[in-house]
Amino acid sequence: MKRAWFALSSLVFALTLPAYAGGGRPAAAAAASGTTPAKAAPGPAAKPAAEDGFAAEVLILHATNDKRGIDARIGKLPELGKAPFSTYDSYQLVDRARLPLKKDEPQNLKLPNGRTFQVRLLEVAQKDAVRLSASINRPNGKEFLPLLEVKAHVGQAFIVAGQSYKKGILVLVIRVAK
Amino acid sequence: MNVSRELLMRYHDGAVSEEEAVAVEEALEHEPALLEELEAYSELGSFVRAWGEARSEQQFDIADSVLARIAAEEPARVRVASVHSIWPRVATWVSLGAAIAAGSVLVVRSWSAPPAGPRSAHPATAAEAVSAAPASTAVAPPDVSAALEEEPKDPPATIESVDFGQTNGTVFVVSTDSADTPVVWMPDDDQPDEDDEDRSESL
Repeated sequence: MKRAWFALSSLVFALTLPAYAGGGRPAAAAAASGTTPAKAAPGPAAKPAAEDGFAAEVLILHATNDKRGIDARIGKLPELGKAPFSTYDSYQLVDRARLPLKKDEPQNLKLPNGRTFQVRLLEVAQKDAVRLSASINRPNGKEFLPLLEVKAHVGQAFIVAGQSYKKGILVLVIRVAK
Repeated sequence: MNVSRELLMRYHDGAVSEEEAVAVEEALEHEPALLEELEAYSELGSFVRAWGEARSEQQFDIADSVLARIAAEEPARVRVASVHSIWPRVATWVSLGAAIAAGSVLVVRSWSAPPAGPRSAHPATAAEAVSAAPASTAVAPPDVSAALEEEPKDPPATIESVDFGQTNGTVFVVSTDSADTPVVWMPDDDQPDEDDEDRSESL
């Protein structure tokens, strides 16, 4: 009898417990609609945003061991304190550019070593994320970095580094902006 | 006097008259065979009594043993009945399974709650969850909200494909406290560019 009562009590408790969790579908749907309305209400608002407005912010840094420290214009870039970038004690900002990301219009940026950095929008992956391609070509037209495809959210960055330049290397920091 | 066996037996049992007793005693004095037969009756009587007592004792033992066995088997039968009855077990397992499933639902919901969106939306989410729940304090909502506040760090930018051409390059990630940044490292090759002029002044 006690066993049957225990079993019945456990069953009732198990069946009513999810209701007390407060995670019912209506509440969850309301919460989701409050934070990500595009997912909760598919339709015109759920389409990826227009490609206009996305851009690639490029920092061209010159890394050397000239004991001059990090250029204040570079701003906060903690990656420079990590290996292998920490093997250089000096970083100078050579150039800064904002390249609009467009599918049909590759954007070119001349590098200090004469090569050309090119970036192009492949697609708007999500509301705040893009897929882009980048490449680096030599002045003679030959490819140095034939192709690089990256998916990044707004605010995220990737780095292309290693090209020799004036007793140091070039460090390209590419950050997706909008 | 001729003493018959029947009279001798009654004498042995004390079921004779005084005259018969005197007659039997006179015959016993003169006939030793009668005395031996009388002694045999006594031994036989002792034997029969002993046998009867033993038999009666044996019957009592059997009865006692049967009763003892019955008494001993009664609790065992009760225990067997409770152990081999399957329904209480089924009910117990079903209820325990349902309890475990309900617990899993709680854990999964706390883990799979939408982490995206501004943090300011979390209190609203918790409030809606609380309002949707029955008026009870059995399950504390702060545990769920606490789980929601621990959002994982955003995944880094992804290098989907890279073609190094004739250069030996590598891809790795530099991790900092704020972000994980993928790095494409391409050491310069020995192939000279056509135009190696420094253009840093023109930028």
